[in-house]
Amino acid sequence: MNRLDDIAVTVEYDGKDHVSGQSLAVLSEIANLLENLARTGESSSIDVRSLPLFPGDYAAIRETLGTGEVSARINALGPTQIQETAIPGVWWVTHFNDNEETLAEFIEITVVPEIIPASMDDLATAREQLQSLIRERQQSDHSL
Amino acid sequence: MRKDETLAEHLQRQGISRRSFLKFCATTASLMALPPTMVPTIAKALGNVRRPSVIWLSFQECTGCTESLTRSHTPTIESLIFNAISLDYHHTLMAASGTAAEHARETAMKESYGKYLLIVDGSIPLKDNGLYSTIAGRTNLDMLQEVAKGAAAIVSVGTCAAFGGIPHANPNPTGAVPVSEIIKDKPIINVSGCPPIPVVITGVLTHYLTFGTIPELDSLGRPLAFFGDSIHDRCYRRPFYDQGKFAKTFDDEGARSGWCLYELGCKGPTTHNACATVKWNNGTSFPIESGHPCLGCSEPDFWDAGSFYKPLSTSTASVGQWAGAAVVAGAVAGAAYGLYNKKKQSDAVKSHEKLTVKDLEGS
Repeated sequence: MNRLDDIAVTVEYDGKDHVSGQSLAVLSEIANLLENLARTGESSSIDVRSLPLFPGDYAAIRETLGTGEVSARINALGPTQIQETAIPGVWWVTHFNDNEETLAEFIEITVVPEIIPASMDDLATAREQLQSLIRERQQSDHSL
Repeated sequence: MRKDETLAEHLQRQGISRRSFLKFCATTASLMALPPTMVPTIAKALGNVRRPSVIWLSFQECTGCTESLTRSHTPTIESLIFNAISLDYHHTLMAASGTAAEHARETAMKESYGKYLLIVDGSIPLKDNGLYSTIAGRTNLDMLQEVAKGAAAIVSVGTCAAFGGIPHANPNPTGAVPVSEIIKDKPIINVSGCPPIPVVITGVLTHYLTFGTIPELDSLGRPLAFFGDSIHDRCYRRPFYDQGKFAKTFDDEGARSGWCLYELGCKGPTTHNACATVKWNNGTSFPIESGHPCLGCSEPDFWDAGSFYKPLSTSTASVGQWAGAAVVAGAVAGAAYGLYNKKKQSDAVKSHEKLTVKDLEGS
């Protein structure tokens, strides 16, 4: 058995979406952080799993923020799902492990999440990397 | 990882990408309750780390702490931090045994004297000159004193090493004590829990590697980032407590509706740990989420604090009355309630209530 989801336990759902009212507080916090981003360019993030949210609160936050145009999936130590929300500058970032279990979940208030762009450190060796591939390609073309 | 290379060089050689490393740093920063602005600092410091030597001593313990760490469901993330240290002695995990194992410990101590990190799990028996637990013919007391002398800092992993734990429970037949009762001249970080949450162990190691210092600690020597809040403070069932909605048995309507487990003996209000936020089995759930009250395993003397299934406030006050007050007066009443419970808990410790079948049945 590789996944905890495989354990045959079902939760009895009482039909009510419990809410604690925390979702409004979180949404207001996002609005403040957006204002700060627009004014100073400073990025910030909210750790979703550190908040004591009821399933209803979580759903309310996701529903209010909606789904935007950009979606990205990164494969690094297991997948990371990045989804732009319908609010520009607000991103939903979920880090998973190889078994697709959630490791961490953030709402990032930023122009673009830092994990997406290529880093300057990597660019330093990128050209060299490509040139060695070109040399290999030339050699294999010559030998034909 | 070679001794002379940095973690960044090592990861590059292993083909671990910058994004993977960034993901690890972001996850760790979040766990350590550090602001996201710290992520670049962590990434930079960890990237430049040269692996420090770590000696892990296991005394009167059940190996649950090691199991917790090594059975973690995120081997890729946890192994990153293990790449950053050189675990030179751990008698359960190491390939060597007997004289060869002890020789490895002595060599590591000699090579990194004054600089190595000492991790201890298990308590240390003092009764009858400590003869109740020995390794290679030496008492735990003797070995701890020798190894602690050359350590830069000590991490007491698990409630046994931190507070004495189950071996220390009444009547404590071996005279078990925690590390802090023996070693007085070294910084000690208590990572309590039975067992501790694996990422709390790695989080403390990461902090030490990143900043070269020990994290901020509470009055019991536990890192505040993980032990700053009570289970009750962060419990998703807390709103039910505030509304006075309690499960009375494990199979009543309240239990099925996920109401507060206070009346079933939950020790959440007097227990400090990160279970409610970090959770277990890779964020799947924690005991309360699975319908069981918190046992309070990260607190001193949890085994002697009365029955696991008796409410913190015992028969002198009805929980219903108190909870009613909490609803009216909100958070302040909740805080007062916590204090009241703490007193009740310490009274229970003094009288050492034994667990009976009746307690288990909730009667």
